[in-house]
Amino acid sequence: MRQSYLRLVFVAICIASSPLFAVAASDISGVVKSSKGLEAGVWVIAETTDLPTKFTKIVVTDDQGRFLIPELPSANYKVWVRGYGLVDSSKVSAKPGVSLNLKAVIAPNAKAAAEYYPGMYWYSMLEIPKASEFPGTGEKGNGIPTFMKQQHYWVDTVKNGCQSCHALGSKGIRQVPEFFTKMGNGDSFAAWAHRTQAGQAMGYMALVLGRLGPDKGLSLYADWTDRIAKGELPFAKPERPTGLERNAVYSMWDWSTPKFYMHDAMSTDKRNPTVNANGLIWGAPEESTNLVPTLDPVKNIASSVRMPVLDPKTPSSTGAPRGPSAYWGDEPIWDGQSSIHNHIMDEVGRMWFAARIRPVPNPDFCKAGSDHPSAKVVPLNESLRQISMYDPKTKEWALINTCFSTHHVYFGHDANNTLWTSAGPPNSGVVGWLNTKKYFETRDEKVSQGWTPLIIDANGNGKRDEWVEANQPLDPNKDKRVMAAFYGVQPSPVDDAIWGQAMDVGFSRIDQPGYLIRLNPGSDPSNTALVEIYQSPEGTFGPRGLDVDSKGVVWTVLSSGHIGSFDRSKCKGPLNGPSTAEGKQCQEGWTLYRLPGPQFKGMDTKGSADGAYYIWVDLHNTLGLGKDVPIASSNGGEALIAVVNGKLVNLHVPYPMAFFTKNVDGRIDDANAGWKGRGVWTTTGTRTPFHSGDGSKDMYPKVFKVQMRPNPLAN
Amino acid sequence: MKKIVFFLLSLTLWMAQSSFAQSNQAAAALANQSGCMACHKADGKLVGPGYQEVAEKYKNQPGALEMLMQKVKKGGAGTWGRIPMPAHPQLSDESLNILVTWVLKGAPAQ
Repeated sequence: MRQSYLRLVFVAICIASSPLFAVAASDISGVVKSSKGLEAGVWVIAETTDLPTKFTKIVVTDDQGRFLIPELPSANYKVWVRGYGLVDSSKVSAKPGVSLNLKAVIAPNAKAAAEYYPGMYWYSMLEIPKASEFPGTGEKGNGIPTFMKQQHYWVDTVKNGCQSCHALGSKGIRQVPEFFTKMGNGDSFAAWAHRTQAGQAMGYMALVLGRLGPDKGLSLYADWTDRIAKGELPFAKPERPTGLERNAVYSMWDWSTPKFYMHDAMSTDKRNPTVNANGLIWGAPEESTNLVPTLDPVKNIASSVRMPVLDPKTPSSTGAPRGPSAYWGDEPIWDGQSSIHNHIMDEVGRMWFAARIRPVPNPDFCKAGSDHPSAKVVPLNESLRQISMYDPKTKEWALINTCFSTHHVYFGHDANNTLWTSAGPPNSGVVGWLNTKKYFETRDEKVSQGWTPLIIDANGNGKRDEWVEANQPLDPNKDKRVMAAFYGVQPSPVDDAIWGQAMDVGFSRIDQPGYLIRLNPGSDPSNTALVEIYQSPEGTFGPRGLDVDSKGVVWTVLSSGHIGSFDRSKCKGPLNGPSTAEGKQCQEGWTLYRLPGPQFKGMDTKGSADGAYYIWVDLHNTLGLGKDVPIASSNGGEALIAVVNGKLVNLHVPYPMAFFTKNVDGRIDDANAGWKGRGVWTTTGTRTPFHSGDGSKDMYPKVFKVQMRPNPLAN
Repeated sequence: MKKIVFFLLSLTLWMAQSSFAQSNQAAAALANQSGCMACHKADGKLVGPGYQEVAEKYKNQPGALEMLMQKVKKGGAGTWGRIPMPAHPQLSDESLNILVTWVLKGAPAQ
């Protein structure tokens, strides 16, 4: 008996210490070891170009350096190791069904190791003007515009102005291409001036620079990259994945072209994530092209569908002013007319897009004098984007001419299948919707749409009355308008409320804080809708995007470097009346989670230098971390960050570097297949995939699928 | 007779004003369309100098129109600080003429 026991222990020790272990025909497994021993919490990357589109799969090693890359399509792969504290290992050729001993390479110095840090570790080295420098004293003073009243206006601008399009801190940003240095005759300030004029987003970048104070902004960015060029390194180091973070499996496919970029990827109906099981993934290429990319993740085929426009005079990004690019020279690489910002799938698999279908001026039925019920309340003269819809079954497009502008679109949970929209910037001051049931019954876009201004019940009588405008003082007999048009939007799954969110100063460019906004539509929304507004707690700022969990709790991300949740049911004070007109009530409804990583030097360390673009709540446990888990798109951390039981799970995507995404979408392909039958989908969201340190003009936007296994070796 | 002359003069003046207003509006629209207003505004610096400051600087300066047309087309740096103005090769000579003429008037909206 004693001998048997010892034999069993011996065998167990042998198995545990063996570098290789059993592997299925579609897996690659093995062990990662360096000169320092077994390497835990490092990434193993397998990549192939044998399939119709380039395919990559990434897993993390367990605490004994073991890895298992599951479910690989049959192909020849290059396999290598990346990790914090390492430099990339040499690439090993392998086919599924083998076990490998991979040799990790210890980084020879801190500089080599830092090359793999997420962008925020470098971006946090950017000097932020001190709080005492605000309000700015203008061009002839400290270079900060006078409208920059507080430090957080500036931080919100560098995050929601600059970082909302670029993976700041990534290699292609923290290093200034020689092309621009030459243009600036060796002056890094001038080089930055030229690089912010490059490409077809020059106009937008100029707008943001104008907000920062161009000389001040360019000086600080030039100083940042000068210090990096001289060898200054990040003052903080990231930690390797631990715990649940080691269970992640990342799959990725190339789609579209290296000249284009994506805003979002969509896989299913958020309300029922079994819709479109195993079907195509759809992209939204914003200003870059009218070609809507698709991916068949089963056959590994990328393709595209061209979105039409209603009017050939629809503006095109081709004509946007541009300076020369270090990558593309004078070539205008974008040719998009349809400005496809965001999209959503309905219950039968039709795709609905926030897209431009015609020039800016609205048709007469939107304007003053129209008999349209919403136009009688707020006439609209302009719309920047409208709605288009594609039915993959019939391959037909519908172009729906809305009076209101669209930015994000989400379906309600009502019988009319209402598509609620946000407008992005606040200027229109309305929130619009499309009654899709009525639209399909009538095909009449005029009668199927509506919009409402955002009116706070400031006199507290429980109904909508005449109102004072946002810039007017309160009137005890009237309600008050808030100048917002929603950036994020999400119908609540628990009641009739439509939640939205207004951006802070850095994006809105109006002197108004960011808000969460609860819109109660009432019986006739154009005339009855009332809103409540909520500011995030003192010391935080800059909400961006939102989602609502199945208990009605709202989640947002804040440019102060937080994930925030807001539970209205915790509110103790009144939610209407004059005391609520500024949105400072119900601080008790908030819970904050600091985003991981360093803070900008000299700033409150309760916040983080990270900036997240949006947040999405996993209502149906599509990822495998649980129902109602919120997932933030961490742009500085190059990660998806989930909140699980009050703790953050940091799903850093290590390859290609500069992972930058704007939102996710989760789908269940097979509810009976465990972790293998589900996953969340996203895409490359930076406008410049070619800034990645892992490639340049050859870098395609990618579709990412993220799955969570029960353990790091599950197959 | 005097009344007729006065009427014709008034009509001519009104037509001229109306025409100026239209041309100013058209130039402002062209400036918007061409992306000029991303960096400039009529009054005060944005990224580049305000148009009224430009008009003041080149007031009564012979050859300013042609010189500035070339500067817009080819780009330049140094006159208004360290931030360079990018080249705008896509603008036709006709568009450049309309835009710079309007800038030299101080970029009136009407």
